[in-house]
Order: sequence, then C-alpha cells, then structure tokens
Amino acid sequence: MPTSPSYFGNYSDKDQPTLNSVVDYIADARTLLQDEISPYRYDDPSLLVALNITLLEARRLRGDLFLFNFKVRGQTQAFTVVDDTYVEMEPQFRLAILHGLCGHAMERDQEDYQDVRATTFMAMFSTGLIGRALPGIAGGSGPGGGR
Amino acid sequence: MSTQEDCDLYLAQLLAQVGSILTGASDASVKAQFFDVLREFFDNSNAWLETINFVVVSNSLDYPLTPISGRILRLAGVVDQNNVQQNAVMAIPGIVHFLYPYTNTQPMTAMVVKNVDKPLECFPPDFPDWFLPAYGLGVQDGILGKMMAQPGNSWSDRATAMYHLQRFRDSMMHARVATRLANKVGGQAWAYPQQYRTTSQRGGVSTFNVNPAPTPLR
Repeated sequence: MPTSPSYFGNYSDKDQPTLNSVVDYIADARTLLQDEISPYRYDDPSLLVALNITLLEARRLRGDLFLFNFKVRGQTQAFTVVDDTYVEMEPQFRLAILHGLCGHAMERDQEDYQDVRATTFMAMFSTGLIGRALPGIAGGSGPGGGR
Repeated sequence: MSTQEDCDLYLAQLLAQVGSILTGASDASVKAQFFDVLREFFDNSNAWLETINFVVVSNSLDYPLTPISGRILRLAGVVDQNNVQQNAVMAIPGIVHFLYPYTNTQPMTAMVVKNVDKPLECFPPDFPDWFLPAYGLGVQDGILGKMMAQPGNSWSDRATAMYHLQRFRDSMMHARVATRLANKVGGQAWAYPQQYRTTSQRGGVSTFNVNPAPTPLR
C-alpha cells in the first residue's frame, strides 16, 4: 500500500518536503560533505553561516526568487539555529542553494583537493541559479594537477 | 460564463506552458510578469468593465465609486434611470464628476474600466473569470515576450521575444475591438458611448427613452 503523499497537492512551495527546512539543508550538506559522524568537521554554526551567505548570494544573483517572500517582505532570511524553520525557496532552486552551502563550507579548506570540490559546488550553485558558472575559487587544480 | 474552476485550470495550464519554455525562470518572476501583463492588457484593451450604481443628490458634482474588485482606470459612461447618457468625466480615477449639477435625487449607473490591483499581495490577482479562457493565449505571449526580452538570462531570446510581443499586442487590440463592439460579431455597442446615445431631438421633437434600465455587460 502506498504511503507517500499525493503529488497532486500544492507541492510548489512549503508543502514540498524535499529540502524544506534548515535542518534538511544541514543534514543533506553533511551527506555531500561526507561529514556525518560526530564530532563534525563542519560544525552547525559554520554550516549555518554558509547557508546564510549562500542565500545572500542567491539574493544578489536572482532577486526574483525573493519577490513573493511575504513573511519577510522580500528580504533575505537568516538563521541562527539548526531547526525545522522553513527556508523560503522555490523547490526547483533548492538544490542550487545546497550546492552553494557545501561550496562555501569547503572554501575554508586549504587543500588543493578541496579547492576542486569547492569550485565544483560553487559552479553547480551558480549554474543552478543563472545557467552559467562563475569563475573558479583557486584554479581548480586537483592533487598533482599543478605540477 | 466560465467557472472559477475552469479559470484555475486555464491558469495552471498557462503557468505550466510558460515554465516549460522559460528554462531557469523562477515561479516568482513569472507571477510578477503575469501581473504586469494583465495590467498592460486591461489598460490597453478596456476589456474589464464593471457597472456601478450610485445615487445623485442635488448640487453635488463629484461621486467616488468603489468597485467590487480591482482598480478603476477610467470612465466608460454614465446613464440615468432612463438609460440616457449623462455628461460626466473622471478626471481623478475613481471619482465621477458631472459637468452640470442636478436638482433632484436620482439613481445613476456608471460603467468603469478596471485594472488589476495589489501586486504581490495575492496570487492570482482578482480578474474576471472569463478572461483567461478568452485571452489566455495573449497573456501567455505577453509573459513569454517580456521574459525573453530580459538580457543575460538562460531564457533570454530577443528574436522570439519580438514574435511573442507582436502576438501580445495583436491580442490586446483584438480585445479592445471586441470590447468596443460589446463582443457582438459585426455589431456595435448598445449603450454608453456617446455616439450611440438613445435619444435625440431631431426634427425639434424630444424622443423620450423607452429602453429598460441598463444591465451589466458582464
């Protein structure tokens, strides 16, 4: 017997359960960052900062995404706690936000290997939002690629 | 007359069509563009009309009107209880101004041209439920043309934008003519415009009006 809810409801906004709240973004970011076992390499505050900054960058690139954000009158949301607060983002752009979150988190790492992944995530973020990638973070060379 | 459910289906189909063509565009930008397209369409076509009854009292020239929904753009005409055209203007949108005062209290009927109101407050905005079934394709062309004309986006396409905007203008003009003819094929409006007034004094004899009280066109 099927248990998933029908997709004939209003799944175009906050009823869409995928990447719905702050905790959803943080949890999936940990999966992509391979950081699922405590103690975490990327703690909650740093990922919250990454999410908030990613939303600010999304506001810069795609102001229309925040046009109908009635609750905060078009401003960009900011979060201080990892909880189930809804992140006001159209479902089709949530993956881009997740990629931006991961990319920003990885920017702090200095290893060349991480630079490549950070560049890839940031490229997926900007491509998801505006259809093209922004410049790479540090050349994007992988291990040994600079030799 | 279409039902609200029919209108919702037309709206859903329109948004789906637009979304499938404009890859990468947000729902929010399409909704905002939808409002602007409606605003331009109603402004240029005068397609959204409402009749409003009010009472004229002696020695008062100005009468503010309140529509059921939407925003009053301009005045199509005012008739008295005998369906006789009155000399009235609307210098300030929403306020009927008579050129001459009346000496007795009497009911009047104004027909006003309306437009959508309150952007960003709700979606979809209030508009007549017959509108999308009749002119949905024109609205779709308007949204596509305006979105594709935006520079530097994944959905930008200036050549195709020109095609859609031309179709949008055609649709507006079609609606404008249809409204002027009261949606009658080959006909002419039966009331309100000055040239179709129902009384005259030709031959020195004033012919009183025998028509019934006006009924809403829509």
